[in-house]
Amino acid sequence: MALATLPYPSMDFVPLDVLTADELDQIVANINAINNNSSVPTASIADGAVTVQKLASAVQDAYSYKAGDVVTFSNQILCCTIADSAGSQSYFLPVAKSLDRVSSATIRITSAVNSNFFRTIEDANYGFGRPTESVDYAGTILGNGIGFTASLRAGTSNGHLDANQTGVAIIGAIRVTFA
Amino acid sequence: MNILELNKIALWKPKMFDELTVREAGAGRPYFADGIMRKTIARTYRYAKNYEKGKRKFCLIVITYLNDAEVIEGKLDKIAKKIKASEIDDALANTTDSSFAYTNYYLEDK
Repeated sequence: MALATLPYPSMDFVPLDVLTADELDQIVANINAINNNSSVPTASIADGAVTVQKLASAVQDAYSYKAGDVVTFSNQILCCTIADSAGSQSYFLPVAKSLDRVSSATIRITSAVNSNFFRTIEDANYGFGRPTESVDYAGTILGNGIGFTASLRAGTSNGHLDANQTGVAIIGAIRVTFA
Repeated sequence: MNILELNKIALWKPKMFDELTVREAGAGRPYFADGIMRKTIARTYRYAKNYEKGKRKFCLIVITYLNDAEVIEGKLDKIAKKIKASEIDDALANTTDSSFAYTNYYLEDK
């Protein structure tokens, strides 16, 4: 992201300083550089330059999930390679709000209409179109300020994915209850 | 309004930037020396740097013919260490936004 830079930084004055016309022009150039209509667009404050964490606490609260908030994230795609059913894949779900004020949350991946679950993509034995299986995860995860990471375990009710199989889950909904 | 005295260390409230800043001025500036007003015969350089002593933040200023930022900064640093808290308080009490207070220190002091 672009940072505001002045063309003439470190200009300061003390009593008895002689102010020249050249320096007055430099001051005007500095002022123009932070003007939104400046001819130096990279000197403007860019979108996203101020993160939620930099805001005052009272303002941050409005941008943080609180205990008891329930949010559903739809149509998440999870792609992972699972060695076996004991393996897990970290899944990072970015969220719009800051999680600084939330210490943990319960995440449950639920089946939903039009969702597919783990199915093999490259497996000569199973081919495509394997019956849908449920993928269920319940547990606590920790927020990191801009999203949270959950470890999801690929597994099926009939067994587990064989080694080096790639599973793709298109999850209809992830329902998160913040604690 | 201050009267310029060359090589005499002045004390002021903290300036905008903490680091040493230098400004140049042309010859012909009136200054006071040996009881009479004179005019500078060459360019002068204003050196100023912020310091902190205990809870007091202040700026040391000197205007001189010497054009050597590194040397002047070293001298200002030494004077900042020598200057007492009571001297800082007295000086700051006599400064305004547009005038500083001279100390009894000079650049040539050892």
